[in-house]
Amino acid sequence: MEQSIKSYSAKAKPKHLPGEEGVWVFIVGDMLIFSLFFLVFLYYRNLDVAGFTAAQSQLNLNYGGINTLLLLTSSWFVALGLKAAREQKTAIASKLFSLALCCGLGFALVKFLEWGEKIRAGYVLTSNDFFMYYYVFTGIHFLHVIIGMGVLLFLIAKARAGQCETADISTYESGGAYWHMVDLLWIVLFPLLYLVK
Amino acid sequence: MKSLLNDRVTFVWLILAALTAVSLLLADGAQPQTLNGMVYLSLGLLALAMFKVRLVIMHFMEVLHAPWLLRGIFEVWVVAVFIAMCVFYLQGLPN
Repeated sequence: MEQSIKSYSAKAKPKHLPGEEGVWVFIVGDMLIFSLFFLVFLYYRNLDVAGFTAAQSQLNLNYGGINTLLLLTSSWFVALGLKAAREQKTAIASKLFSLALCCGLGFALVKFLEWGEKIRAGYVLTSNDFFMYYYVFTGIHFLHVIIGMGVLLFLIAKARAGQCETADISTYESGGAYWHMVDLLWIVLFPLLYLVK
Repeated sequence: MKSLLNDRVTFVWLILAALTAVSLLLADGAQPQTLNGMVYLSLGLLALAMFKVRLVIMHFMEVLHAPWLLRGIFEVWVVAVFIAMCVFYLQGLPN
């Protein structure tokens, strides 16, 4: 019994805080703010369910779905890039972070196509409450994507410079955690805005 | 590169992509004829989303092996946000 406990303890991964503490404070704070956005949207939806459902039917599910897959894939590239950096393979890490950045650019392109299509069809910020929340929340999220792409550019430059000391790994972890947060916020926004009837 | 891909995060990514496809198929294909059917579908889609969020937090953000305080904050956040969204959604249903 004692032997099995010892061998389990040896196998158990030690606790590790990825990245800087301050980044986690920011991430938790940002996620709390977005939680309020989710609830505000549902509260105002309750005041006009029929209006929100009719407006929602004007959205194109394909755009939202493609963007979800793009962000999920970018997160996967970032996670692999971090692993590569930990293994001192900074050239590979740089390529993986670049692929993540390409997915981010793809997300931006799809978002512009989607917004453009809606605006041309006459659905703007002031059309109704649904589109007001749609533009505001997807717009605030898009700002996070832009900042995230800046973070990815920084990580790419760092990896290209071959930096993979302990402090550098912590920076990769912090940047990666931020990008994953951008991804997970979209994972909730997508069904709320596009799917929930 | 092959050894890099052969990692838990690749498996997690495949699950996340598959769940996204399931959500899209459900939302696009299912046309519930009753109010109950619509409610189950919507709550199911929210549950799927929060399950995906937890996968991202635990495996991509590596909170699974973070100190208990950080992991606890995220576990509580996922459950609390899911419950709150369900409560708000249900309050909008006709009596």
